[in-house]
Amino acid sequence: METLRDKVYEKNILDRLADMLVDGIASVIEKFRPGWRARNEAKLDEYRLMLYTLNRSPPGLIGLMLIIGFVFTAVFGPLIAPLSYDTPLVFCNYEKAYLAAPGTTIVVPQDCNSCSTVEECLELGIPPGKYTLVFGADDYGRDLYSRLLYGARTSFIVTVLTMAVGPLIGILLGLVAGYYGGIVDEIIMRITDIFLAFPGLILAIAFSAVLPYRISDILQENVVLRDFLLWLFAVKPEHAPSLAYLVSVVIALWIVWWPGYARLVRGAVLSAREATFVEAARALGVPVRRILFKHILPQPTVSGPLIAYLTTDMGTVILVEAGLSFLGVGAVPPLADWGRMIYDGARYFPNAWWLVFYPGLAIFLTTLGFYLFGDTLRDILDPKTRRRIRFKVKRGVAV
Amino acid sequence: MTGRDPIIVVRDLHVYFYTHAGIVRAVDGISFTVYRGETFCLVGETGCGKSVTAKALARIVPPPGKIVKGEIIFYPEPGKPIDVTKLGEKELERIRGRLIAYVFQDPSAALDPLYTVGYQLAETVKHHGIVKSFKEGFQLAAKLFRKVLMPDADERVKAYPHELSGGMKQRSVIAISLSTEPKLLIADEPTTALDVTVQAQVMDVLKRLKEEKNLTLILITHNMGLVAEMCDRVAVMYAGKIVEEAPVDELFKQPLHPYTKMLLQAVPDPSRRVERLESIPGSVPNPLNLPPGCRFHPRCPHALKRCREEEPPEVYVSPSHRVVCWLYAGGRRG
Amino acid sequence: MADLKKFLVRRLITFIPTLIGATFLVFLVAVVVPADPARLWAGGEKADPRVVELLRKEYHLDEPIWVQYYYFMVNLITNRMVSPVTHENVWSTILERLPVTLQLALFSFTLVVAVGVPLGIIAALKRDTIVDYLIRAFAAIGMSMPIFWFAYILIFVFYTNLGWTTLAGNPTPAKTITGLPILDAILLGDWRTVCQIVERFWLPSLVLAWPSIGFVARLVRNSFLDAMSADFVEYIIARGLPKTTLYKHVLRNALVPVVTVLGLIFGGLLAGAPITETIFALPGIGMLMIQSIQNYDYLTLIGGVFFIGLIYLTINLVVDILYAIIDPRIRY
Repeated sequence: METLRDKVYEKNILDRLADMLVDGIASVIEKFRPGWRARNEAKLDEYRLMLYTLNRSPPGLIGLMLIIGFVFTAVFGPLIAPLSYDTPLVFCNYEKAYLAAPGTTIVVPQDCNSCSTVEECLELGIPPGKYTLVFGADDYGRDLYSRLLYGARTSFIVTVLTMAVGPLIGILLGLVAGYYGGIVDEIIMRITDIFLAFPGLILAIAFSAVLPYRISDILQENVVLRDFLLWLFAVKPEHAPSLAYLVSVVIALWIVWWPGYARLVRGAVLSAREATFVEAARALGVPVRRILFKHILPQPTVSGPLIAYLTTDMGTVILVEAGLSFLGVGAVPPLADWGRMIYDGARYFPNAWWLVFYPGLAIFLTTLGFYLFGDTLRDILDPKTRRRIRFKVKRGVAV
Repeated sequence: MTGRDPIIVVRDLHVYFYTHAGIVRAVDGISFTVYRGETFCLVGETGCGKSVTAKALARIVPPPGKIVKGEIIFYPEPGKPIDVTKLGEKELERIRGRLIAYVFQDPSAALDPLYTVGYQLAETVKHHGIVKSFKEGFQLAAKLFRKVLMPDADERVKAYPHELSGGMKQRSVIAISLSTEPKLLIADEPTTALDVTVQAQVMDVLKRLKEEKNLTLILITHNMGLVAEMCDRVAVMYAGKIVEEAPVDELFKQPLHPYTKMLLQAVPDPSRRVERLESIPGSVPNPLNLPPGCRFHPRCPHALKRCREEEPPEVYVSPSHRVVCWLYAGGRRG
Repeated sequence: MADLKKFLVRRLITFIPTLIGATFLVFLVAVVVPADPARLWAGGEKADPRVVELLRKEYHLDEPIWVQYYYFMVNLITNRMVSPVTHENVWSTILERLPVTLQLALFSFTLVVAVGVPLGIIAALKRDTIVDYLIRAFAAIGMSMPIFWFAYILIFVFYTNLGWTTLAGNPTPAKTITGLPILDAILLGDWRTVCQIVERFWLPSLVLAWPSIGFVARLVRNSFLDAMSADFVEYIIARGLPKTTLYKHVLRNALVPVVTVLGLIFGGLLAGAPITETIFALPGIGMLMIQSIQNYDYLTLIGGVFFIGLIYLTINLVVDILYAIIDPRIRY
């Protein structure tokens, strides 16, 4: 159906794509639940507006593409990597593979000095084939390109695990503190203050430095958990002991990542609590849990900034995780981790610049993606801002 | 009403808002004249375009609103017309505040929370050259605050907006707006955000100052009681158009447009006991999708077939009383 | 002003429980340290059991946790905490390193405010123009750049190629007055040392400040635009006041949220200190912490964490007071 908007305004290709997307999804739902579309027309139009807002923000679109690229690499990277993260090509040909410059090609076993047959190379852990090291290789002759792909997985899993728990604790505490107020609020906020008494990274450094000892004990006892994590991080079983360091980083980040959310949500709840509809719900005797999760949390003033903040924070976690690894308290060799790769490569800087440059670029682009998209998301999710978008007036429409 | 001296003449004013959902014709071709020294009222329901009209007069319509057509002729002195729609930013700054002043609906929002009210008055008078220094500005502030009957005026000058009550805030806004001795004051629902008890006091202050300073006042309101009390002439707006204009007594005695009649019936009359207050059936039309013909016809009890199709003509039933309605189309056309 | 006094008293009172809580949190780090730190300190697997025993006694490791917390606190307050690895007094080591970190953070902080705030204002004033886009892009890029990566690129350009900086030493003037080398050098009129300090510190300060500059620029821009859409702006325009007056009001309103995050920004700088100091070989608290981790010197690590917390808490206290002064609406 042609809306008023369609009558007076020009739409670009992306807007039409957005319309098709919303209409497509709506008609699928309509198939299963007849009448749904008519009931939710206003909501659908909000979704259309959200997409139009995104279409008018080039940074947002760039950010979204970077995020999609990162997630794709993280999920499929280890599968498409030509070599494993720890394949040491130096064993095969030291001269050629040691700090090999980008573009070097090594053919196994033809180029090999130490192993002359396929079997011998396999024994060293090097599968035969022709490898073009597009991003060069490190001091063990490990293919930087493959390691970057594995590194995406490491980064992604650490981020997802951190963001799945840390903010959740904060959001729950913030909701409770903001809603109940009084002594509950006072206690929760004092605890929050204590955690906020340290710059996050400092506390995270301390915890990730001391936690691995305990974590490795736990992982040794808990084989199922260990195997699951091995699979998640795409790590070979023989490197299982290194897992403890990654898990420690995640736990350290849980510890420091919740207080910010507690504050943010508490503030938003405090102002939402005064809203008339919340008072009305309270007067009607709606249970607290329902008020919190069905009335307060979904408010655009609460959920909008929260979702935007969560997105931006994904980028921050990636940055912080890399920073911890760079300081030597995160991932340990031979695991592939972007931050650690920079730390290990720095020794050869600036001669083997690629060892520092490419992992840094990967961290940078990924974080940038989350920051740009998160920023745009703030505008998209704010009903006021998304109503401010401009269209071109169609020719022939009254001035 | 010839021979009277106009202060502002609005001709065929159109203000459109280019919003996400379509073009809102907030003000769609209105014309009126305000004469020097009188109180002119613009009445209508929320969203009828009266505030936008008021803001258009000094060109302070916020984006995405735009004056797309029409002229606004302002006479700061008799016989010296200025077309406000053709002025540049610099010239507008000299008119705004100095010659045309505003009092807005919500005084809490109008004042900067980080500066004292006295400072905000002082900076206004200093900029417009009423005083030489901030010190004099503050002295003037204290004097004007006494004029608007602010309790403890000398102390209040140093108060921050959050330290004042709603009524006191609006009084300080009136003091600030009148501090430059403007020719024309536009008061946009000046008492709507205030407590009922305070409303009367603020209106009294406004009325007294208007007389004292020989101001012209344009009062925007939806309160018919206030209209009866304050105004000389009234224009009734509906969905971006003026539907009726008349001197206040005539309008109350002999309302012509069905909308005006209903608006007056919706006002409680304390002298008569009524069982039920009349309300206007239906609701304001969607500004994005205005009905064809007369915009009021879906709610009008007297609607003719013609009302649904053709825009009604402007009819002058007397030189000072015009109505835009097909019911009176037999009379003299305007 | 009476309100301000009340606010200050209240703020100071909440400072104390937070401080106590912070010590507890730091102690928590100590509790989760390796199961047998004494053995680690004594040399690992092949440690002499007698030495291990002695260390355990000295650090009360055999006793229940609350006793450990008691000794931990007593040692912390009476300044008797001695590192089992370096055999040095933890507090003294930290105090020795403090000027470097403080100087680095202060330089960076100055850069952040002096560059970030004007950039944000320019972006807001030139909203939706190429200037705005460039500043926003700069801010986003700055914030998402890993500083440890950016640092190497800058070192390559300014040290390896141009030689505009040095990467060794820690210049200090001959006499100590305030303890902060740059301030002492200026007070003494020792311009040679001032130049040396600037030469040594400008690059690490820039690296440390980099992400925060972007953060502040973005924040100032957004809060400036927020203030521009506030209702009082309409009244200022309606009063015919000039653009300069309008911007004065808007800027002051825009800076209120900026002041509230000044503490956060300083915290971010402190947090970046370990990375920056390690890369640029500056002997500050951050570098000390990283060295302690490598040496299993957990007491020094904890001391460093606690000390940074102390600085951060103090800064936040100052910021809150500043906030109460700048915004008359603050009432507690």
